[in-house]
Amino acid sequence: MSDATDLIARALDPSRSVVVEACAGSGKTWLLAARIVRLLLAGVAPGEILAITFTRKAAREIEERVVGWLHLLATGSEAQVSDFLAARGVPVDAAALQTARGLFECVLAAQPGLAVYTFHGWFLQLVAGAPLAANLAGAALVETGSRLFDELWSSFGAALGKAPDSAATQGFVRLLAVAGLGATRRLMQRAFNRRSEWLAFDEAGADPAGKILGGLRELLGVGQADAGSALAEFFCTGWALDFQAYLALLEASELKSDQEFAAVLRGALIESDGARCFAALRTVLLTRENMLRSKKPGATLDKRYSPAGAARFLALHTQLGERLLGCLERQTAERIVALNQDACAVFSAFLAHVEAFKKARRQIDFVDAEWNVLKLLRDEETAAFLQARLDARYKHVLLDEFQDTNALQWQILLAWLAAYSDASRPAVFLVGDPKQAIYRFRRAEPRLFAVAADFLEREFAAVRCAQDATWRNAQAIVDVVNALFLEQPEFAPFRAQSALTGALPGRVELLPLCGRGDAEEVPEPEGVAGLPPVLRDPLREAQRDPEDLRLASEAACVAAKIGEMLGAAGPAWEIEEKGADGSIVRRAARYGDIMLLVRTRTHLRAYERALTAAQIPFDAGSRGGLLGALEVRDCVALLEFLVTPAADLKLAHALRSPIFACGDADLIQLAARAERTWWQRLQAHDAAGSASAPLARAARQLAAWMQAADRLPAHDLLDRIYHQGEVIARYRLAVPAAARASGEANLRALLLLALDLDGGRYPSLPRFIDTLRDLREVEGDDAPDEGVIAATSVAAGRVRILTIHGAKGLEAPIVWLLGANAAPRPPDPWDVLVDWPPQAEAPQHFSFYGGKEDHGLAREPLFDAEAAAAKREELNLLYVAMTRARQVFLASGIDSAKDRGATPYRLVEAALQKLGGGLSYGDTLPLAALTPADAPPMATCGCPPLPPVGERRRPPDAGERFGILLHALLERRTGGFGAAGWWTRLGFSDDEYRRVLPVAERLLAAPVLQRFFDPAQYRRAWNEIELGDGEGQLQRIDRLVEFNAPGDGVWVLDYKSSRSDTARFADYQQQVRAYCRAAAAVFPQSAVRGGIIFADATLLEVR
Amino acid sequence: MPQTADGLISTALRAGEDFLDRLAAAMLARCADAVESGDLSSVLILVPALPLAADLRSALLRAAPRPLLLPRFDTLPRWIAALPLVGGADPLPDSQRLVLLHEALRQRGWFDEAALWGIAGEMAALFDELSRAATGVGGALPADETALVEQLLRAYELRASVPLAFEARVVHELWRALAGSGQPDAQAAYRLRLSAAARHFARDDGVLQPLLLLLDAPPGESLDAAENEFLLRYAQVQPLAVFHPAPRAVAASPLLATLAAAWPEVPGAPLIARARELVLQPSPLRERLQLLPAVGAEQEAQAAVAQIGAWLTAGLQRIVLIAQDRLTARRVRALLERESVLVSDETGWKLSTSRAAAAIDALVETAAGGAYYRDLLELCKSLYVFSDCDEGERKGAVFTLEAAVRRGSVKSGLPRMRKALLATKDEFDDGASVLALALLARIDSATTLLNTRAAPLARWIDRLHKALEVLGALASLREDAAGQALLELLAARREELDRSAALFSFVAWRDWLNRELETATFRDAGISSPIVLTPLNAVGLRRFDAALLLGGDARQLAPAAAGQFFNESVRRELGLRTCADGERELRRALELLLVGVPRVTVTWQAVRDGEANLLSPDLALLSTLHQLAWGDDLQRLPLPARDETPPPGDSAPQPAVLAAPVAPLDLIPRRVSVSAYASLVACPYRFFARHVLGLGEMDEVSEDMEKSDYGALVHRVLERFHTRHPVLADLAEETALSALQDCVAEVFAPAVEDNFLAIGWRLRWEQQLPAYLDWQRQREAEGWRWAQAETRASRALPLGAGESVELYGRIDRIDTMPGSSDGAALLDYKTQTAKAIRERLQDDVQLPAYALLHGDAAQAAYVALDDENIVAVSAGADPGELTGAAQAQGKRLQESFTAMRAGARLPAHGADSVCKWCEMSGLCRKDYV
Ligand code: SF4
Repeated sequence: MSDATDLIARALDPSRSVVVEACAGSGKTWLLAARIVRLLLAGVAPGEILAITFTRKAAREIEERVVGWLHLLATGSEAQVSDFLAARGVPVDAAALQTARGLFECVLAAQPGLAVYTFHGWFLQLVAGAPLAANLAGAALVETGSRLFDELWSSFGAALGKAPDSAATQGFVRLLAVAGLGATRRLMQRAFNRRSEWLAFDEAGADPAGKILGGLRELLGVGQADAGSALAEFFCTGWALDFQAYLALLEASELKSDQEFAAVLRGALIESDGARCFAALRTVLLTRENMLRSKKPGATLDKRYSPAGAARFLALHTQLGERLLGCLERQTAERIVALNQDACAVFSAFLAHVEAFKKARRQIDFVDAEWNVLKLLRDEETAAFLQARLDARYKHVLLDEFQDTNALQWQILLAWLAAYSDASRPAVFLVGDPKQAIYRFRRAEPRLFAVAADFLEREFAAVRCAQDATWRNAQAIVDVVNALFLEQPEFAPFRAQSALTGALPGRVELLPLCGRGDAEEVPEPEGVAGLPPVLRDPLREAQRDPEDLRLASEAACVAAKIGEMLGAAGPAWEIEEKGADGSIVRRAARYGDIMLLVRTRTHLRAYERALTAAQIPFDAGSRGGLLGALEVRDCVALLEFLVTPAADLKLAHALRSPIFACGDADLIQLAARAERTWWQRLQAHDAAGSASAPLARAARQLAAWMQAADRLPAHDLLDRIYHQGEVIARYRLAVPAAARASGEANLRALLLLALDLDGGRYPSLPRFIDTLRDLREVEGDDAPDEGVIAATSVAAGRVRILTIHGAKGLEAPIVWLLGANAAPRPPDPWDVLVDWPPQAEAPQHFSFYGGKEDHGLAREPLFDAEAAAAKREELNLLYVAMTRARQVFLASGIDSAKDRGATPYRLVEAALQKLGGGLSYGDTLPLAALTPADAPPMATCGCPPLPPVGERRRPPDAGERFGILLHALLERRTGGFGAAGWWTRLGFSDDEYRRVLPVAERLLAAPVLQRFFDPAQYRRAWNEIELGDGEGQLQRIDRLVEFNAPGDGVWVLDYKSSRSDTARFADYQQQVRAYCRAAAAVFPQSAVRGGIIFADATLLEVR
Repeated sequence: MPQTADGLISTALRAGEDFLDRLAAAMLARCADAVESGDLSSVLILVPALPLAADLRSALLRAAPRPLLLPRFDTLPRWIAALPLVGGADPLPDSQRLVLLHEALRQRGWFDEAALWGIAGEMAALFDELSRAATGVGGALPADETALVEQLLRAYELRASVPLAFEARVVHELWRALAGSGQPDAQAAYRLRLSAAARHFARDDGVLQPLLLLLDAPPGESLDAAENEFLLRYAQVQPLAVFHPAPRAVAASPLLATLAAAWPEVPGAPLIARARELVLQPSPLRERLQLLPAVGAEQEAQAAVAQIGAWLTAGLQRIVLIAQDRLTARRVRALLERESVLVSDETGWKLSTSRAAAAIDALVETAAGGAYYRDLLELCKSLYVFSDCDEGERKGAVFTLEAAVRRGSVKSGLPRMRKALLATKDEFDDGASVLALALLARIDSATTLLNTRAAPLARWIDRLHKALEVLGALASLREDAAGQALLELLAARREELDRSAALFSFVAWRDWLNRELETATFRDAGISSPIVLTPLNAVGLRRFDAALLLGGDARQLAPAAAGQFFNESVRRELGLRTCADGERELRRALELLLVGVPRVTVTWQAVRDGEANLLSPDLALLSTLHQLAWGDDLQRLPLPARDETPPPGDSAPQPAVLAAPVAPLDLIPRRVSVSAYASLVACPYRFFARHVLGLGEMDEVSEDMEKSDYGALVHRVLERFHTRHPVLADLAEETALSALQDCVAEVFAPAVEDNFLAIGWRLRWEQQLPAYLDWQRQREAEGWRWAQAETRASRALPLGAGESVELYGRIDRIDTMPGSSDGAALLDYKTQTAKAIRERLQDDVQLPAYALLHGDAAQAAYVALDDENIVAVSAGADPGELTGAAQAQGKRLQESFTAMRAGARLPAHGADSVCKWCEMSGLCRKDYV
C-alpha cells in the first residue's frame, strides 16, 4: 500500500475517530470532504454529521465540494463513479454504486441537513436553542467592533463622571495618572477582547477580579497590606551599616569615579527622605538599566585593598546591589499589584456597564455567545436539553483547521462531547496543521492540537496520521522550505516534506534588498558658509521622504520583474496547470497567476502605486478600504453636500470629480464670486450665463438631486445620480487604466452598501452619511471592503495583493512576499497577559501589564512564553507564505537597520546559502512560446431601448376622494352592511366622512329617488354589480334596479358627486349608454333605462 | 375528477397555463341554471388570494356563453369576517393580546425587561399556531401543565428536565393568563365565527347562496380543520363546489410528470432511474425554465434586467418578479426605472424602512438622547417636519442652525443650541436665525411631550401624535404613502388599546413602537404596471407571460421557517407546522409557478461575498434530473448586461493629470499666515485650495477631546499662569505649583464637565507641571524672563514693482533677557516629544518664520511638553544661524510669491505623509495620477 492510499484507508474509515496532521497543500479539504462522502456512503444520515471549520468561506467550500461530488456520483458514468469511489478507498460493488447514486438527492432533501458550520455559526445555533430559562431569548447578535466599543467607552466615561466617589472612578483616575488616557483605554479594550478568559478565570463566575488579584499577589509575593512596604523593609533598622562599610572602602579608592560615588553615598546616608535616599544608593551601585555596576576582581583591586579587602569589597558590592535590586523588584511587584487592582476594578465596572448596555438593547456578541454556550454545556441539565432541542444528534463530528481553535472553544467541544452518553458517543475526525497557525491575535492556541490529539487517542481510540507530502508546491520550493525550517529550533517538530508534483519546474528567488544606496538621494541643501542656506523651491520640487524612496524602489523592482515574467519585453515565463481532464497544460504566465503577499497592510499604497504606474491591473488587497477610495469619497462628498449645502469644500470636491469634471479654472471662477456659499455662487454663476459647460451641467443636476435627496432613500438617490450623472462611464474615462476595474467595482460596491444600509431600519440620508463617516473611522475588519472586480473584466486576470492571513487557503503559480525584510513589530505595551495551558479547563493566569520595565520577574516566564509563541507564529507566517506558491516564490524588501538576521528575507537567504548560495534556487522557468493577447473588452449589449411600461398614478384629489367615499357610503347604506368606522379602514378621515354623510342622506331621502332605494318598490337591486357583455368586456355598474312591473323594466344608475349642471354631462351619458347596452343584453326581456344621480339629488335619465 | 378529503368533495383540475379557462368552464357548468338566466350575482366565488380574482373574472368573461351578471369574489376569511352574524364575540385585538402577555410576563419577573416584547410576540405566534392546529376552540395544548411536560419529555426523549419544565410552565401560565381575559384572540374568534356561520347557514331561509371555492392545493393541505368543518356543514344546506389544481403526483402532463420525477412525494428509485423514464419524450422544461448563476448581487441584478428587457422587447407584458432576495429586487427595480419601466410592488415594505418612519425615529431619538446634534439635525432635515413653513425658509433656518451648532461645537442640549444660535446671530440672515429659534422651540415642546412619565400605550400614541402635530408633520406624513400608513397604524392601535391600562416607560414604549413599525408593511399603490413584484406563494394560479425569480439559492429559496418554539419532533407531536410542511409548500409553489407561467428564469448568486452559494436544493434536483434525462442542466449564461450607464454626454472628463493650476492675480492672498506659508512649502496645490480658493473644512462638533483640543487648553493654561506670575523666582516652590494647578483646574473645568474622559488629558498635563516649573526656573536661571504670550506679529516682504506680501503669525511666547542686548527668545509650545520634534526640525518652517516676523530673535525653540523632562528644541545652533534661516525663509516666500504672481503653476506634489491627512485630496485628485 502506498503512503497515500494508506492514509486514505485510515483517515476515511467511517468507524474510527481520526487525527490528521497534514502539511500545506496536502489536500485537507479534500480529505474532509471525502470523509463526509464516506460517512454518507456508510449510511450515516446527513443530519448526523457536524463539520466545523474556521471561516464561513471554508464552510461554504466544503459544502460545495461535497454537493459537487455527490452530483457527480448521481450523474456520472459508471466508470467515473467507480473511479471516484476507488480513489476514496471504497470497495466498489453494485450496492455501493446504488447508494452512491442516491446520495445527492438524499443530502439535498435531508431535514435536518448536513451541518457545516464555523464555530461562530455553530455557537449561534446553540444559543438559539438555549432554554428559555437561560434568558437569551430574542437576543440579537452584534459585532462588538471598534465602533461599538467607542460608544461603550464614552458612555462608560460619562457614567464614571456621574459617580466621582465610586471605587471604579477612583481606580480609573489612578489608572489615568499611571497610564494616561490612551493606554487606559487600550488596556480596557484588550481586556474586553479577552473577556471570555476573564470570565472563565473564575469558574464559578462570581469574582474573577478577586481571584485574579489573589493569584497575582501570590505569584509576586505581595500581601494585601503591603503597599509601599518594599521601601520600609529596605530601611529596616541597621540597614545603613553595610553601606557605611562600603562607603569606607570607596573612600579608600583613588579612582575619580569611586570618589564621586562616595560623595553621592555620603549624601544618601544623611538624606532623610527615603525615596531620595534610595535613588541615590541606586546610582552608586546600579546602572541606569538597573544592572549591577561591574567591578572586576584583579590585581588593581587587590593592590588597592589587599586581596582580603578586595574580596570583601566585591562581596559587599554584590550583596548591596542585590539588596537594592531585590527592593526594586519588590517595588515593581507592588506597582504591578496596584495597577492590577485599579485595572481590575475599572474593568469590572466597565464590564458591568457593557452588560447593562447590551441587556437594555437585548444584544449579545460573539464572546457572549461563546461564553454562554460553555456555561450551558457545562451544566448537565441544559446540556441534555440542548442536545435534545437541536434536531440533530450528531454521530460524527469533523473539525477542520484545528490549529486555529482557541482554548475556550476546545472546552466547549469537550463539554459537548461529555454530554453524550458513552454508548452514543460520536466519532471525531480532526485535521489541521500547527505549522499554519497564524491566528494568535484571535486567541488561537496552536498547542491545543497536540493536546486534542492525545485526548482523542486516549478517550476515542483515535488513529493518528501525518501527511507531509504536498500536491501543490514544486520540488524546488519544498527544498527551500525544508532547508529553512529544519534549521529552526522553534519550528519543531518539523518533518521534512516531500513534493508529489513530479517534474513541475519550480524556483525560489530573492531580489536584492533595496538599500539606501539604491534610492536617489535628496542632496542636503547646503548654504555657503555665512550666507543663508538655499531652501527647496516648493513650486518646482516636491518634498521627499527617504523611507518612501526605498519603498518606491522596491515597488518599482516588483513592477519591473512582473513585466519580465509576463513577457513585457520578450517571451513570458511558462506556467503549468492541470486541465479539467487532469492533463497538463503549459501556457504563458498572466497577471492572474501572481499573488503578492504582505505581512501587514502598512505600505500597500506604495506597491499599488507602482503597479498603477506600470499599468499592471491588480486587485487591491487593502481590505476595509472601500470608503477611503477616491471614487467613493467623491460620491460621499456629493451626498454630504446634498444634505448640507453649506459644505463648500464638499461641493468643490464633487465638482472636481469625474462626475462633473470641472477643472481648477472652474473653481477659480467660483472662488472669485462674492455670494456667501459656493452653492449660491454656482447657481448665480449659472444664472448669469457665465458658467462653463461643466459648471452649468453641475448646477442643473445638483439642483435636481438636492430635491431628490429629500425624498429618495440613499440607494435610490445614488442610483439616480449614477444614471443621470453617467457616473460609471465618466470614471472609465478619468481613472488610470490599471485602476479602472477596481474603481468601477468600488462604485458599485458603494451602491450595494447603500442598499444594504437602506434595507435596515429607519433609512435617512443624514443617517446614511453619518454611518459612512463612522465606518470610515473604524479600524480594519469592521470597515466595508472594496468592491469585488468582475472576473471577466480582464482576460489575463489581475495581480492579487493579499495579506498572508488573507491568503490562507489560497495558492498561485507565482507568489511574492513583499517587504520581506521588515522585522516583526515588538509587542505593544499596555495589554493583558493570559496563560491558559491547553490542558487546563480555565486560564491559570490573567493580569494587566504596562511597559517592559513593569513585567516583573515572577511573570517573566509567561512573557517569555508569549514571545516564543510570537516568534513561532512569525515562522508560521513565512511557512504559509512560501507554501502558497505552486512554482515560483519570490521575496523582496528594503534594507533595514532593524533586521537582525531573523527577517523572512534573511531566513530565506540563509536557506539558499545552505542549498548552494546565490539569490535563487531551482529551475529557470521555461519561456512560453506566445504571450497571451488580452481578450477584447466585453461587448456591450447594444439592446434596443425599452418601451416605457407602467404608469405612476397620482393619488386621488379631494374631489375624487369625496366621490369614492360617497359611492362606498351609498353602497353600504343600500346594502345594509358596514361596521362602525369602516371608512377609516378605507383610509378616510372622520372629517371626510362627516362631509359626505349629509350628501348621501340627501340622496337616500330624496322623494324622486325613493323607488330606487326602497326594497318594497322594486324586485331586485344590486350595488357595484359587474356585468359581462358576452364578448369578454366587463362593465361595473353603481346600482342596478329591476322593477316588478315589466314596464318599469331595469334601471342602470350611476352616482356622480358633482351637481347636475356639470360640464362633463355628455361624457357621463356616453358611459351610461354603454352600461345600458350591456344590461340590455343580460335582460333581453326588459326595457333597460339609464340614469345619473347627482349629488344635488337630481336624477337625469339618459336616453 | 371529484375527490374527497375528510368528507369534503372537491374537483381537481389539471394545472397548466389554461387552468383558469378550464376552471371558468367548470364553474359555469356548475351554475348552468344561473348562467341560463344571465344572473350569477348570487354566486360567491372564494379564491385563495384577491389578486387572483381579476384573472379568474376575465377567464369567466371569456368562457361565458352569454351576457351575465357576474358572481362576487372574496376570500374565505374576509367573507367570514364580513358576515352579519349574531353572537360572535369581539376578538381580542392582537395588539391588546401582546400587552396582556407582556404584563403577565412582567409580573412574573422571569426575564429581563428588554426581552419581554420579544417573548410575548413569540408566545402569541405559538398560540396562533396552536389554535390553527386544533379542531376545537381552545387549542392543542394539554389541559394541565404536567401533561404538557410529559408530552414534551416524550418528544425530546428526555427524562425529567428542569429547563423543559420551566418552558412548559411559561407556555401554560401565559395561556391561562390570556384565557383569563375572557376574550378570544383573532384566531379563536375566526374559528368561533366559522361555527356561527355554519349555524347561520343551517337556518334554511330559502335563499340560495351557491359557493364556488378555489383552493391552490387539495383541501387536506390548504384548509385547516375548522374551515373544513364549516364547509362540510355548508355543503349540507347550500350548493358548494370546491376546485383545486391536481397535484404533480397525478402527472397529468409531461411537465407535471417531470416535476413529479424531480420531487417525488415518497422516495423511490434513484434520480438517474427516474430520469431514464422521462427521456422518451422531448423535454417539457427546456423552453420554460432557465437557471442563471451570477457572481455577486450587481451581476444578478443586471442579469435580471437584461432578461426582463429581452422579454419586453419580445412583446411580453405581464411579467412577475419574484423577490426571494429583496435587496436585489430593489436594485432591479431601480435599474428598470432608469429605463422608465415601472414595477408595481405587491409585497410591500416594512414600515420601518420608510423615510417617514425614519423621521419619527429621529424625533424619538432626539428626545431620548437629550437632543444629540446629529439626531436633531437629521430631524430638522427631514422633509416631513415643519411642513407648514416655506420650504426655502425652512432650509435656510436649518442651514443657520447647523452652522451655529458646528461653530459652537454643541454636542447636545437644546438650551446650548439656542445659545449657539444667539451667538452667531449677527453673522447670519436675521430671518433665518429667528426661524431657527422658533424651530428649536417647537422641537423643545415636541420632545418635552415625549420625555414624561410612564403611561398606557394609548397615551403614548397620543403624545407622539401631539408631538408630530407640534412639529407640523401630520399633514406631510398624510401626503405620503408610508406616512399615511404609519398614521393609520397608530390610529388603529390607539383605538384597539384604548382601554388597556398597563403602564409603560419611555423605553418600553419605544421598543413597542419599533416592533410595530418592524411588523407593519405598507404598499405604494401609486404605480400600476403589468410588471409586478410579488412573493412566490402569491404567484399561485395567476396568469403571467413570464416570471423571474431572484435569489434562487439554497439560503433564500428555502422553506418558510417553522415557528421558533420547540424542535421538530415536539412540533409534530403537537400537530404544529414542521419543516416538512414548509418543504411541501415550497415545492407546491414552485410547481404552480413552473406549470402556470410559460417562461421562468431563476437567478442566483453562485458566488456571494466571495463565498460559494449553492442553488436551492429543489432547483438543483430539477436541474440534475433534466441533465440526466436530456443532457442539459438548464443553466445558462446570463444575457449581456444592458448598457446601464449612458455614455458621457457633454463635458466628458479627461484622464486625470497632475493638478497644477495657475492662481489668478487677484485671488493670490496679500497676507499669509505662517501656517499658510508652511502649507505652500509642503504642497503648493494645498495652498492653492485653501488660500487661493479659500476652501476649508466646515467646523465639526468635537465629540471627544482630541489631542489638538488638549494642546489648545495647555496653551491657555500657560498663558494664564505666566500672565499672573511672570517671574517664577518670586514664588515659593509649592506656591508656584499650586498656582499653576489652579490655572489647570480653571481651564480644564469646562472640558471635564462636558466629557469626563477629558480628565485623562488633565491628569496627563498635571503630571508635567513640576517638570515644567523646573524647566521654567532653569530658564530664569539662565536669565530669561517671560515677557509676552500670544503675540501677533507681521511683516511685509517686498515683491518688486511696489507689491508686497505680508507674513503674519502669532507667537506663543516671547522671553527676553533683561540687561542683555541679545535678542528675544521665541517659544512655541508643542504637546509632543522632543524626539518627534527633532525629527521634523530639518524641514521646519515655523520657527525661522517667527524669527523673521520678530526681527530681533536670538533664539527660537519648540518647548516639548510630552516628555518626562521638559526641554526646548531650538532651531539653529546660534543666533546667526537662526537669522540665516529666517532670511532664507523670507527669501523663499518672496520668490515663491513672485513666481506665483508671474503665473507659475502650483503643483499637487505633497509627500505621502502630508497627503495622508490632507483634506484637499479630493480636489487635487492625486490618487488617480
Ligand atoms: S493630497 Fe497631497 S498632493 Fe493633494 S493637495 Fe493635499 S498634499 Fe497636495
